[in-house]
Parts: sequence; C-alpha cells; structure tokens
Amino acid sequence: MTNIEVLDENQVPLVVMSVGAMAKVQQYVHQCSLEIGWMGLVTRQMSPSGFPMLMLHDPYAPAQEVSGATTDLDPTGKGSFADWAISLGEKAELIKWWGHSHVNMGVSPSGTDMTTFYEHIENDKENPFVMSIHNKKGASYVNLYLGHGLYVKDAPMVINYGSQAIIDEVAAELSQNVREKTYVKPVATNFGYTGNPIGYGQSQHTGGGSDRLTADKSDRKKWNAKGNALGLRRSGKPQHPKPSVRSKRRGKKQGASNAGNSAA
Amino acid sequence: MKYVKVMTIPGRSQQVEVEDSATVADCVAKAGMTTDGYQITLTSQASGANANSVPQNGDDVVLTRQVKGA
Repeated sequence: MTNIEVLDENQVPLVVMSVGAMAKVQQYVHQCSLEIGWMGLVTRQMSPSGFPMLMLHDPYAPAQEVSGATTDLDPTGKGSFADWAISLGEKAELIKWWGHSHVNMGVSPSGTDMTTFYEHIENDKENPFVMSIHNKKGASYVNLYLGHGLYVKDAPMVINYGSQAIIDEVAAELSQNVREKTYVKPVATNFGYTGNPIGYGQSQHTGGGSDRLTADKSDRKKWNAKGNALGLRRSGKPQHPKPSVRSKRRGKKQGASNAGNSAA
Repeated sequence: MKYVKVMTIPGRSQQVEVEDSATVADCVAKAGMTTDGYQITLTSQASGANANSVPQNGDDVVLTRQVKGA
C-alpha cells in the first residue's frame, strides 16, 4: 500500500529569497562564465498573515571544480563547504539550500542534479531542503523538499525586497510626514482681488490662510468695499485703466534716463 | 566521557556522549549515521581525518560528500 497525502495549497511553504541573497546569486551567475555552485541557509518563518515561509539567505560559494556544464563542490579541505559549516557553528544545521548556475542553458534539473537532490534528502528526511538552479537570463527553478517524503517540483519563489527594519522605518516616515491632500468646494469670491485668499481649485492650507476660509459675510463686504475702492469689479477681471500715450512716453523717457544713469 | 557533535552537510546534526577512546566511527554510529561514502572533517584535525580518528571532547565530526551539479 502507498500512502498519498494531498496537500492544500496553504500547507506548502512559500520559498522566499532575501534581496541580499538574490543579489549575491545574480553575481555568482553573472561573473562566472562556467557553472558555479553554492550553499546557503534556510530558516522557517511565518508571514504576518500566518502563511508558512522558507527563507533562503547567506549563500556561499565554497571551493569547487567547475566546467561549462558541471560544478563539483569539494567535500573537504581548505575552503570546502565542510570548512564553512564548521565556521558557522550552530548555524551549520541551517545549511539546507544548494544552488547552482546553468550558465546560458535552461534551468530544468539534469539527472545529476536530481541524484544530488535525492542524496541530500536521504541525509535528512525530516527537514526541508531547497535546490535552486539559475541562469544568466534570469530564469530560476526550485525543487522544494518538505520533509516526510513530500516534495514540490518547480516551486514558486519570491524575492523579499525589504527587511523588517526598512519596512518599519518607511512606515514611521509616512505616518509622520505624509498627509493626504484635501480639497474645498469653491465659494463665491472676489476674482482678481489680491487680498482674497480663496480661488477656484485652490487647496485648503493648514497655515495662516485657512482661517479665512471660514470668513463670514461681513468679511466679504469688507473685501468688496476695498476691491471697489481699488477699481475692481464685483466679478471678472480687474479694471485696469488704459495707459495713456503720455504715460507711455514718460516711461520711455524715464527708461532712457535710467540707462544713462547706469552707464555713468 | 566526551561530547562530540556529528553533522552531515547538508543534513542533520546530533550531539553524542561517548567514551574518551571512541573513534569517529563510534560517534557516527551512536548518532545513527554512517561514514560510508562520506569524507570526514574533524574540527581538531586540520586534515587527514578518517573513521579511526579519535575526536576530542567538544569536537565536530562533519560528514560530507561531493556535491555535483550539471
């Protein structure tokens, strides 16, 4: 008999790569004209909405021999992943991610890749393990072992572009410094009167002008009276007296004398 | 008695308590793992560790094998 367990979509953890890890992976792939392999850490987290996530971080490319189509990580010796594991101390137990580049080829796993994947699973059948394959075109493929004999082919992976510190910092800045613009309905105004603080489409200010928005009729009468005294009409454009020929000439003469003064 | 941590990378780890004279093979067996097909690294021994090496108290025994991608 074979027991088959069908997982609900929400039971499959989402594979999330930190932006720092992604940047490093991209550089591994970009800077190597041959294949390149690396290992990294995997930690379990729950999203704020309670969704299980497997976080990929801290990739490291240990000593290895590579070719255009292979990458063989040295099991021992200086710079090997055994050395790296020892340097990590307790964190060595989190090494559950093996990734490599297929350079310009497609990212589907080869038979060798799958053999290595199954070998890792044999080492630890209880815990998750992630195999990722990347290429220079930016494509990636993820095989996710969930533990207890379950694994997901071509599992979705997302990039986490922000650390919680950045998220909190931005939230604080937005909360403190950013406010939504509000608009007020246009009211009857004295168009053209420069003392009138309200115009069509003008936004409400929180500064000195805002109190005038509540001006009552007596204020309007004052403005109207003042506007009439300045030669303004009740509505429409201000009435400017047409300049006379005399005043134009005077302006020219004045300009000429000014030019003479400045030359002197 | 001494304490030794046995790890397969990638894989699992387990700390075991063994006799002072216990070899790597003894520690690995007590942890329920095997050395077959694995290379052995000891934290107290820069190179040349094998199944007959005797770990010190607090040592890590790291079991690895070549990781091949293609």
